[in-house]
Amino acid sequence: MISGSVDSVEYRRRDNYVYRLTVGEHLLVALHARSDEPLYALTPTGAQLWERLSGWASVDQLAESLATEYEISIEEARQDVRDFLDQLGSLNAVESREPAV
Amino acid sequence: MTAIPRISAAVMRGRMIERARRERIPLQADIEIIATCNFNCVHCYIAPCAEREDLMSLEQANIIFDKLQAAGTQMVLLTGGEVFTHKQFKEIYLSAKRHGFEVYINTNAYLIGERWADFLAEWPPKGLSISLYGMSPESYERLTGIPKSYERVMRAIDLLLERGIAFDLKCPAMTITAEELPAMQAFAKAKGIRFRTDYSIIPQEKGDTGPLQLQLGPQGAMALEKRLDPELKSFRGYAALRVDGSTTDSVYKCGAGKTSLHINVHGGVSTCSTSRKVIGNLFEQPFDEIWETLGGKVAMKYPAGHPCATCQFSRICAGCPATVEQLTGMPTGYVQMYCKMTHQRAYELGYHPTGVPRTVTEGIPAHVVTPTRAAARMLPVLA
Repeated sequence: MISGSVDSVEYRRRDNYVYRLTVGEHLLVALHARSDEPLYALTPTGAQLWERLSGWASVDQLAESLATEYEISIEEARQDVRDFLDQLGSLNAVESREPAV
Repeated sequence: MTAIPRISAAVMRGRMIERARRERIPLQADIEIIATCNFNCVHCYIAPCAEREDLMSLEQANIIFDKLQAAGTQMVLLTGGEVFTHKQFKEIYLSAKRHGFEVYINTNAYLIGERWADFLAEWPPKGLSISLYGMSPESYERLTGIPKSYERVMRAIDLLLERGIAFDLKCPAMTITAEELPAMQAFAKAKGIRFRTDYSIIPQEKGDTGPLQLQLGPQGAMALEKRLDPELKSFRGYAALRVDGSTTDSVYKCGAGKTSLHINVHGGVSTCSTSRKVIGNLFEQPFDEIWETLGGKVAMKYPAGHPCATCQFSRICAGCPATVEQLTGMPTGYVQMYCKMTHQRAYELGYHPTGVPRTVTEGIPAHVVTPTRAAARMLPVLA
């Protein structure tokens, strides 16, 4: 579970998934999962965050871009980002680190 | 916000297929990365006439992958020949995966030992399909021409099962496999593996019609179908969805050229792996140009008076435009053997009163193209 209280922690997507937009679907394709269905759908917002996670980013940095793009409050955006990171965490699709001091 | 909606992949895939059909998007591509094989199977249509240089390099595969990715392809089948004999197979396979495709593999499994099995466990394909050619060393060798092929394939199957890698087994139904097919089916069932068979044999790519000698005739095929499925349950279910008394003059009723395509080792594009008629080249032409030409081909209609245009069993036909094309030279040709097989099935299922097609009693219209002389000579005349 990704902690929702430590917003200074930085996150980055792992390289065990590939994102594709195809046939109208934002897909997250697992490279390793030995599942019958190694395929997940993202919403357009999720896809945008996934792209942003190509480099290290904190919850606040991710939330700011989301709040600007969708004209929502920063608190609401923070919660959305935490939810998304939780979901990615459950798929082992994201890694985290403490920010450099 | 739910950035990863909780919908099943099956629902999402269904949505993609529906849209691909509606908008004619090439969702699936079969790619032959090598034409040669380490088996010498008597029925093969590709490897016996392949040369050593008939393979696709990693660079060429990447050209294809880039074009397919841009076109919206999601499922890619890597096939041959035997893909594991390709020196760059691992790189090509991983590149396909990193392009975000769901990757399927066709193989005879002969080369799958511990190392390949471990690799596949780490990088699992979406699907793995293994050709099975018998249930004894003797019958395997008779068909493949390779010593120890039975033992090697059986070991590969165990290695894959041990690692939990999903795969299915398949075997062409033909004169030399018919006797052992029920045992192969039982073997697969005992191991919990899906098993399938196919009744159409086609000539070799460069025209040799020799493999057609192995084709089962209508009676032989039906007898085998009953041994594999005494109540014809699976075919009954298949037919129930496709036989409703209506007819169509559309030649292509499958997804070939509409949501799928086939690419050979030289970049040549055809409707499917059975059709060897190349209509464009992906190494030389833009994808859209080829896809448009393919669209024109699969939109074709039967000429007036063609027996298939008014046949209510055309959607469950034992043949298809690609097999017919291989035997007659044209997708709009007519192969009475397929028609007899289909009517025999329709009779067994209670759809047809006699099982004898109209062309047997009334004759084949003179303007309809029938199998070439070379093909006709090889096809089974009786059972």
